[in-house]
Amino acid sequence: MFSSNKAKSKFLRIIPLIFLLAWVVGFISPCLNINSLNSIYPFQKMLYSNICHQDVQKSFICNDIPFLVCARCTGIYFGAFISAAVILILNITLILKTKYLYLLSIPMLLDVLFYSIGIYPYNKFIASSTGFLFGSSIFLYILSALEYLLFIKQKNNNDL
Amino acid sequence: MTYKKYLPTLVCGFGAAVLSTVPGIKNFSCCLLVPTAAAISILLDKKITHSNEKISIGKSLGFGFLTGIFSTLFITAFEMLVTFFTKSNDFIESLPQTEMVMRQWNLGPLVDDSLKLIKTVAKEIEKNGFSFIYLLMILSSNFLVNSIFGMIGGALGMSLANRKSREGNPEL
Repeated sequence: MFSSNKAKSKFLRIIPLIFLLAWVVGFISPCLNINSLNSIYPFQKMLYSNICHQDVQKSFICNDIPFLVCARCTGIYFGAFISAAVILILNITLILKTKYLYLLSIPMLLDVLFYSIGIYPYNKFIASSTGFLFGSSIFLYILSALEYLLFIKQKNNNDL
Repeated sequence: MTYKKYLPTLVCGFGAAVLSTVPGIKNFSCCLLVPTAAAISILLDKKITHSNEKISIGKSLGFGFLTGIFSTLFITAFEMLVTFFTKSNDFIESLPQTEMVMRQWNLGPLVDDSLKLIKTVAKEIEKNGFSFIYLLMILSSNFLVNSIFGMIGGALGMSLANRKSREGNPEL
């Protein structure tokens, strides 16, 4: 039972990693110069426009071509992707408390607030690093909730 | 009535669609609009049903998916409506930049075919305010993104709701 849960847990961690890898490769693909993807650039642009304003001034630029999402979104997705990779490699069970999710979201909210009211101008590196914190925390929070519900809770019920 | 069960997803999907049409909102919300709507729909359902039971993964993903579907339908409808009246949209406005980027890659006939298609779409929109290809493009892209992000939001809503219940009643 335990080994089966372990395999399921690994599967639960691999699937989001694959999706996140595909997603990240998708928005940095103009920079990677993959011919097959470049030919569908307008559709890719439209796809990512659903989730990001795609302001060129607020996006990282590589080979004179902006990423398909802004710096903050780049940070969020990279954060989630790196977390997915790290948690799969380290193979640890992590339960992220709600207060840590709020705590790690605060820098991003403060950055949005501060640049919106003009305390400082938009900074790609601040936006991406605060987005990174948010992306990794939200990924770990959702994953820990799913693992708790699927495996830990089930194991506790079986033990009782 | 069974449909009433899914009313929160309809309301939240509609809310997300309305907010997505407000200029400037996307600058703040980025990818968070649909996931937030999905999470709220879960919390709303919990409030309506006055249930203390923990929310299952199936229910949360289903609610998230439905919120994504409803927001897709409303966002597409609003987008088509605005395009019909203004005969312009972000797609047309960003066309010169898209063309410039694609020309840089030297893809040969591939880029020509691709540009020919999007220029046809742009012409149709500028002339009639409507393009069937554009409708298909935004419907499919909205569906793809919103359904996935809706499910992510559903999972987030589930974890928030379940942890709230657990903190209130440790036996759950």
